[in-house]
Amino acid sequence: MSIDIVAFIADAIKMSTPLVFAALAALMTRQAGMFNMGVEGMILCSALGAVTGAHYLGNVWAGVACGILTGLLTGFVIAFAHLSGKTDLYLTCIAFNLAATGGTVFIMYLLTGEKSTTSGAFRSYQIPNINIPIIKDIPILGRIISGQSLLTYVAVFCVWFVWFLLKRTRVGLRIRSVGENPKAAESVGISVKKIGYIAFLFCGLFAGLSGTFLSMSWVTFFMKNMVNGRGYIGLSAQNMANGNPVGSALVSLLFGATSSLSLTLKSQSNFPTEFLEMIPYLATIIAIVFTSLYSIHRKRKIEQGIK
Amino acid sequence: MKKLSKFLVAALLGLSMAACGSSSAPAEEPAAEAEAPAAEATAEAAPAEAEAASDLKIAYIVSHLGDKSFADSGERGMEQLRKEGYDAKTFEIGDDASKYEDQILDTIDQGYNLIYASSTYFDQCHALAEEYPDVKFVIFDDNKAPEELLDNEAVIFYAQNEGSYLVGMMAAAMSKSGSVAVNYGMPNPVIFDFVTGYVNGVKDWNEANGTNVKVIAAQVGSWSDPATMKDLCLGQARDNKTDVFYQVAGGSGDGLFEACVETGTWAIGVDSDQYQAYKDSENPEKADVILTSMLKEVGNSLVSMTHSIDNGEDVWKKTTTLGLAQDSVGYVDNEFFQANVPAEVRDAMAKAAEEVKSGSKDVKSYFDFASEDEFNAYLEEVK
Repeated sequence: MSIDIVAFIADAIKMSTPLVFAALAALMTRQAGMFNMGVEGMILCSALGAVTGAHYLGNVWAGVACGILTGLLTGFVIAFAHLSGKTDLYLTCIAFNLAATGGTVFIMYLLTGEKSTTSGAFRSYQIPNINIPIIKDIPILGRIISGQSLLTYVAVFCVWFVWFLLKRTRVGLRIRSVGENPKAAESVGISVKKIGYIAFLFCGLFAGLSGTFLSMSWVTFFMKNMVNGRGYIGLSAQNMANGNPVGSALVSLLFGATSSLSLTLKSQSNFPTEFLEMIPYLATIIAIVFTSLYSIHRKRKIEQGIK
Repeated sequence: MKKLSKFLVAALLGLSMAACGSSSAPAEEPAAEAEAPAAEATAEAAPAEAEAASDLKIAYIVSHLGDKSFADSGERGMEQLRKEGYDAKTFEIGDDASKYEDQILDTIDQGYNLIYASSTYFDQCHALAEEYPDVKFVIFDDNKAPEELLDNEAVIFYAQNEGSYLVGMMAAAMSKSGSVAVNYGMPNPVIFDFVTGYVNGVKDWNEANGTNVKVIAAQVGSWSDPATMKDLCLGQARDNKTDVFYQVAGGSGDGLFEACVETGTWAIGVDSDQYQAYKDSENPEKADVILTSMLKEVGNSLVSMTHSIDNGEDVWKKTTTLGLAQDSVGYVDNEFFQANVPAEVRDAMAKAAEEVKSGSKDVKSYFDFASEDEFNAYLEEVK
């Protein structure tokens, strides 16, 4: 028995990928002042959309496109209900998640006659893993950085992209101002509704990528309920990082690493399984306590400075 | 306050939606109802059976069909019974435990007097059995002492340890690295019985052949998280060089097969012939890692149980154990198995099966352990 640390880190990055996308999805709507719990259901729908598209169109990339499209569509449904229909966002999201749980099984049943998984009925397609030339030959780093799924690299790019979008572009500024104070934003001529739709559009894009990663890269089929709370974890990751894209990605990475750790220890140690399954959540609570203590400490320092 | 009321409304909405979902479940069964007249028609054609079937109305309680293993195997038994002229209907009652009892009560109200339900529904059935002494309850995949049961309750227990024992022998024989795994969905006594038999098989193989094959038993934590399962297996293949994997994890098991395809290792399926299931599917190449599957013939057992009840045999207030001797558990012996497993291993498996059938060999069962610690210590010996 020996744990391969390098492979373990590479694994943690892989496990974090859907969480990073989920966190970015939740982050976009949060920046526009909307706490979108529907991410979980959006990811589930996208996971089904991706394998369905890949199977019927017979192409990996068509599957990716369909996954993203499903994400956008589901984002639009929630946005339409909340922004145009003026429904309560919490209620809409809860209803949407419940509907997605049953609805995905229903659609899968209509398409394939299966109620549990598409692993038999749909041809499996996998998004390729990328071996980066030169870098892959560097001893330790190569095994971590190279050989990941294409979507993992896309996730890294998306973290930068979201940071750039929010901090450096006009749309980003507007999204943030709507999130800070919608009335003030409206008074200077920004359409809160339009910005809300744009935020949900990005949210749908990232949720779509998260679902696509789950059903076309991590495994290559859809299974009922296969998201297993990863959407909620992403949601809380961006919450812990206070809506900061890089911070959200790092917290997601922490979740991924602790999940990977608990999995490895299940095979390698004699700890009770129940304890090991607690690790990712225990780590979260500890991290929340520390981040909140830090922010209290900072606030106090600022107040002392004012006096 | 406002937020609280919002959440209350949300919770109510959720509940009502769930209620709609499950109450419509039995209504989703027009096919079964439509089949009933057809079944009667065949019954008329065979008058002897029609008489036999006249007083039994069978309800098969299941959370969802379509799992390609356990629940579907039971459904095949129901189909067989319908063909024989029985009035057998399947009720898909979903995953909400708080509604199990009401839904089973519903079936009794509809006049069903023989309830087949798996161990998941034991508590609910037990409560109803006391209230409705005329209705008969058969709980399958469970193990209860007679004093725990009422006069109108019967329990079917499958000796999954016996089937797992044989595939455990094979796993030990097929492993080149000296490490094999059994990965399960959630912990419960039946699942631990699989694990116990498998470990026993590996141990006996080690003893007989002087090898030192280790067994890892790990839990996924869900029946429907193939992603986690896949990573669990990849980690074992990487860190322990594990090269034979046995899945007892329901839907999560599909992740195990993918990990085996990726790492070029062997897999063992469970409950039904998973090699054949994949061969007939859109992804036949995934079948080529599944050496064999441990079979658990739920459907057959329900059919034979129905016949026993009809013949007035005394099956009540006790647990009927069905194992290798009754052909209720076993392993798939197909061409792929024969092509990849050496003849001496196959012969050893067949010989061990005969010994278990004749009673000369006793396979360790989880239900033999006095405590959880004893079970853990047993696993520890080959870890």
